Amino acid sequence: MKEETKSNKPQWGMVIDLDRCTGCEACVVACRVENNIPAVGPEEAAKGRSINWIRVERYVEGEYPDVKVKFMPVLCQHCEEAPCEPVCPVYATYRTDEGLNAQVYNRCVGTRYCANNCPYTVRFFNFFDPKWDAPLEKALNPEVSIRPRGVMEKCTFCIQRIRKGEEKAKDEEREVRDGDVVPACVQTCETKAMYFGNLADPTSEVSKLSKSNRAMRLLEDLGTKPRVIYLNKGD
Amino acid sequence: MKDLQPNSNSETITADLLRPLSKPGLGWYTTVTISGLLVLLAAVALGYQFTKGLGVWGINRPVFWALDITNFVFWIGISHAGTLISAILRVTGAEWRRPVTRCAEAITVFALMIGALFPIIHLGRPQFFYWLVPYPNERGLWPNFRSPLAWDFFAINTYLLGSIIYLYLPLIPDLALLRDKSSGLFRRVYGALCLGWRGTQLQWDRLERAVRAMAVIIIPVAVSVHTIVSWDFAMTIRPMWHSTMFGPYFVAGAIFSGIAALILAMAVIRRVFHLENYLRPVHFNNLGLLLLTMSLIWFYFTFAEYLTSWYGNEPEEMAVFRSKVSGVYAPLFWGTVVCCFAIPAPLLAIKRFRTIKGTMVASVLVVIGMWFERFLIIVPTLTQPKFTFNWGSYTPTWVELSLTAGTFGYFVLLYSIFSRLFPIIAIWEYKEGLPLGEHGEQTVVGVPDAELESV
Amino acid sequence: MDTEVRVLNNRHEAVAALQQLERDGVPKSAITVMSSEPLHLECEGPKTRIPLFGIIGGLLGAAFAILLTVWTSKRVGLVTGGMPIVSPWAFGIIVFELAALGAILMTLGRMVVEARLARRGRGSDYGKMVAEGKIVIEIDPGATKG
Repeated sequence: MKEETKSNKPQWGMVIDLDRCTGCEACVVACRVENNIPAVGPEEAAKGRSINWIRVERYVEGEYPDVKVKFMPVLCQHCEEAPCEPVCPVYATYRTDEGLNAQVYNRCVGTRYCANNCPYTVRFFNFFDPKWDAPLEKALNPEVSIRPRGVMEKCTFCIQRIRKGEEKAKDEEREVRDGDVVPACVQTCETKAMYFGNLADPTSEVSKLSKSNRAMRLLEDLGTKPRVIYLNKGD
Repeated sequence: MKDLQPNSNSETITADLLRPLSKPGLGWYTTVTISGLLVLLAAVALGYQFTKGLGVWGINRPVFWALDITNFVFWIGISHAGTLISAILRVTGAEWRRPVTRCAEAITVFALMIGALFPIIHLGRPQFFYWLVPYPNERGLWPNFRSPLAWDFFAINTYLLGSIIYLYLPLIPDLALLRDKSSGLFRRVYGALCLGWRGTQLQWDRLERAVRAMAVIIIPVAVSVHTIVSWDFAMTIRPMWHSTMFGPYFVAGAIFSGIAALILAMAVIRRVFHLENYLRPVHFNNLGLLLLTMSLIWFYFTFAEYLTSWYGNEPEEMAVFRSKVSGVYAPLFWGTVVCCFAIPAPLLAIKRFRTIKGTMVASVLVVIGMWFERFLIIVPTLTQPKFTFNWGSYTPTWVELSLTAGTFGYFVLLYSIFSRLFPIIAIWEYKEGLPLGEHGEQTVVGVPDAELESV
Repeated sequence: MDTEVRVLNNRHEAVAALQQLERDGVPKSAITVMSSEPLHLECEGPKTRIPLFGIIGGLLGAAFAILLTVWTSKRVGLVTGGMPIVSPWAFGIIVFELAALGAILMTLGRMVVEARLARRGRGSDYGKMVAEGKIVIEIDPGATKG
């Protein structure tokens, strides 16, 4: 027995081509600026308190001198059957009809249970009040709310940009199409390794790429059905 | 076994058991002072945490839970001493239970109160803990009943309320006795609490029926509470948490640590209040045998759990397994095995050592071992998420350590105050057992019949 | 006529006194025996309904839990983790807990009613004597006549 969210709305998804990723971390910076993510400072970061909705994981393969470094940007996978959702006692995280894994800051009481049940470790907790060193506080994005101390947060697929794109399409009385919504990380990616779009639209770029024989999902055997698809050479 | 001669004079018993209420003695004041200081320390730590944020704890990403949940599981486990053991002894009609039941039931209530504090104070926004309560609200939201934390909320509250009632019911006749023996404000308070108890035979009959009914209801509730606590972990998809046997494993561990706490509490009460004639070696012997049984069961469960992980040889399970058995947590792990099994089991198995001192030593080790066992269930799994890139570590801060110390202080403080206000041994229940058997040492089944024969 | 009170020292005397009262033709309903510990004498009064009320409480608790979980979940209607909105496996736990809670509360409530506790003006006049371990037998003349 499964409950599925059926809707005619766009189903947002992302494709990341690992073969194009250089590990430059521009996406990490862009995300930080776009989403008002506080910088906790080096000491707190060393304790594991840093917040980065997207991170670039580095894996070194092989023995020296024949080594290969692999980069993998990891963000919230917006799983269709997310393990983080049902464990929340206050519905602070749930599945929207656009296929997003929503995090409602106002509802969150901070049990951190969702973070413990996330196999991708992409959920972040505000251990302290958020703060920015001057003059960074003047550069905050007015379209993104600041999360108070004690709540969980994570990648939203730049929900503010999704809303804007959808409004624009609505104003122009058409369906959303590629290019209407571009999250900050995708926009910044120098090597064009990231794609974002509507998976429900078979003509969209992400739809086509997701059917590629290079496509894979992280920890696929868990059955979480992520909405982030990775492309990797079929070796 | 050399045993002290129990008192059978009704007036002496009443006087002995009520003495702690009027003359608690120096030991009582010392205990209250020390435990009060620990509570004060924890209060300071808690205030600091509330003003600064949870960052003052050692928790981090990926170790989002640590000592908070360790203490939660540990104290909920200790709470299984009382109600469950007392209920099982009552239902099975074990006569030796009589001086033990109230000590045990009081442990349950206070340990539960402390355990239930942690899910509240560990929240990022503790001021909104009541959002877990199902009530119509302006946000139009109800709790998510699919969450194990919502199950926890219902289980713990049912158990707490049930345990308070189960402690209260057999207390009513003693409250009436206190009412009749006190004056002034105390008389009014005890009088209100005893609900106008007169001691008519109808009241006795109904009270004993109700206590029996409660004992039957409370046993499955107690089992469910620690099962649901274990499901907080077992419902996740984390290695060495996602285990079908976590329910019974936790319940067994809970009863195990609960009996140990009960033995310690009884040993202290015996000494502080000079109740050597009431809490006698036979009680420690019997509880020691129960503790031995639970030690064996604990070892069996632990072996089964670790064997399954080791044999399955899945990389993620093995990472956690290795960190516990041979990695950074190995000293704690093997220390736990020594504290919970290697020393207590032989100690309690040999009759010569199953004395008050012997059971006390075993109990201290078991309480320490079980605390670390809870820690080892929680932290090693959390430090090692699926992607090795995110592996972390955990070191507690003074805030968490103070809170932990404070829980022990708070428990002792609450227990001391309780024993000062109410008889810690049920007076009527103790007396009821007197004309029968050899003062509670023999099991007497069918009380009215046995009594008829002697008339 | 005043209420007659007899004070006895132990169970043995009490049993003898009660047998004497029975021979004198005093109806059992007129006699109240008070003691500081249960005497396990034959007890007058209607049949107990505590177990029945416990079961009713359990059923009420379970019914309430089913209504609460199903109704509120449907009302909120949010999908989490692909689980059904109405998840019997999970809700069964709430049903169990509230059934137990209902049984506990009804048992307590029924016990208080049957034992005639928590009533106004029922303070014990013989408290001191009972507290000293005496057994008090109260014979109500009103009931004797009736």
